[in-house]
Amino acid sequence: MPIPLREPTFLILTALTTEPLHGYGIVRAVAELSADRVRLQAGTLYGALDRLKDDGWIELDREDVVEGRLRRYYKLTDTGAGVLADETARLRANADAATAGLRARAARGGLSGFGAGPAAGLA
Amino acid sequence: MTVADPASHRLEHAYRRLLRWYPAAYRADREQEMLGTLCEMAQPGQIRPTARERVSLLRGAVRAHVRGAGDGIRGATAAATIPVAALITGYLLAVYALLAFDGMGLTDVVHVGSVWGHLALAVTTALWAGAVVSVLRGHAWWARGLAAGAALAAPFMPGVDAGVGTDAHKAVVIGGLLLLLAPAAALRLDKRERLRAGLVAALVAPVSVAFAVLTVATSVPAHSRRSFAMDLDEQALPIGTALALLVAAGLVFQRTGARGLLTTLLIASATVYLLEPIHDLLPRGSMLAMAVLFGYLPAVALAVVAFTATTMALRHLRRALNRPQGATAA
Repeated sequence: MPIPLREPTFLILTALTTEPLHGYGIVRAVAELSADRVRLQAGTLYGALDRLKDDGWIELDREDVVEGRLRRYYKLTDTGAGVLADETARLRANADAATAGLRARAARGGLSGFGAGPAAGLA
Repeated sequence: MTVADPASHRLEHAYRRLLRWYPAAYRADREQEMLGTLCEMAQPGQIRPTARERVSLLRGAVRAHVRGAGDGIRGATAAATIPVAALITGYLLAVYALLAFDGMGLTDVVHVGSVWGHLALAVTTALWAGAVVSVLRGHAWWARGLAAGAALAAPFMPGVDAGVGTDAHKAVVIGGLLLLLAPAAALRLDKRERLRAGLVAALVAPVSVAFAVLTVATSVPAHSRRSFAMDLDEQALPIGTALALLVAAGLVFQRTGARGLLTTLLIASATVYLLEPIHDLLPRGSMLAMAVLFGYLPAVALAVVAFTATTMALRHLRRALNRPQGATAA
């Protein structure tokens, strides 16, 4: 997996932080986390799961059969959690830098009107 | 939506057909799971896969094939490393054996004219011998370094007129590359593998020498040292190598099993580099076979080595870049 993580990968790892999930569970969780912006398709999902498993960032938790269908639940490994933590710190640093810059711009009387946007709650 | 519902049944059938694009081994592991996910993701009343689903599955299938081929080639490379290295060891031993018999006037196969030729041969052999000893003693990194050195020195070895074909140079280079690329686990040999590699290495010299001496001894006029019309004795080295190659191929097949096709490709490419001098002996009319063997396989072999090198380098790079900082500090 290349770093910085691509958004679907980042969201899949995030979805698995709370509990082990199966394929459809991951798709739903990712949609929820991204406010329906990222809708994973099955081909993409399993491509990502293969790579994440090869890299040892996720692993198989358990298997279930529901209505005659095989469900495999995946969970985040410690390595995966470490990668996600690093990536989150990197993104946070970027966001902080952007926030500080925009705030300074607003203080200079810039046009952006920083504080009116959705980031206001974070400030 | 239940399984009995005809619409969902049709949809499932369509998904199953799309999943056939994936490699068989992948499907055996993942098909049921993916089918379950696809059916769960389907909209109520949906009777056929959407365009996005089709595109995504097709792309996923292509990726799975590429990954499978990569793993197969890497596996075959790892399996071929030791047999090919043993073969080259045997080849170099045979060159020295033939040189010694040349000195006694029994054959006329190998003669190194210049001091530089002797020097290049000696340097290449010394580096290669170092690589072999390193493998036997379990020092993978030393083996890699020395093999790389041998691969660099090999092009300066005596040329075709000395009886040591340029293909031998290429073979040493290829063998060096294989040692350089092989995962460390492939370089750790157990007792049985050592014995077999030793057998391959020990096979070339006696067979080559026996062939060279016999062709000269039976040539007309007797003992003329110009055997037959085609300088048959000069084929001694390739023939000894060919026999050892058969044994080496057997060893590789034993280690790779199912990945037969890719293994064959690697072995065939090694063969081509080692056996090009022998093509005079092929019957007339086998032009097509020759064209394929000597024209295309080397290119394919180079592509395989390049592919392996690139994917391995990328993999190492990715590992190095992705190592979580917390893990390295701990």
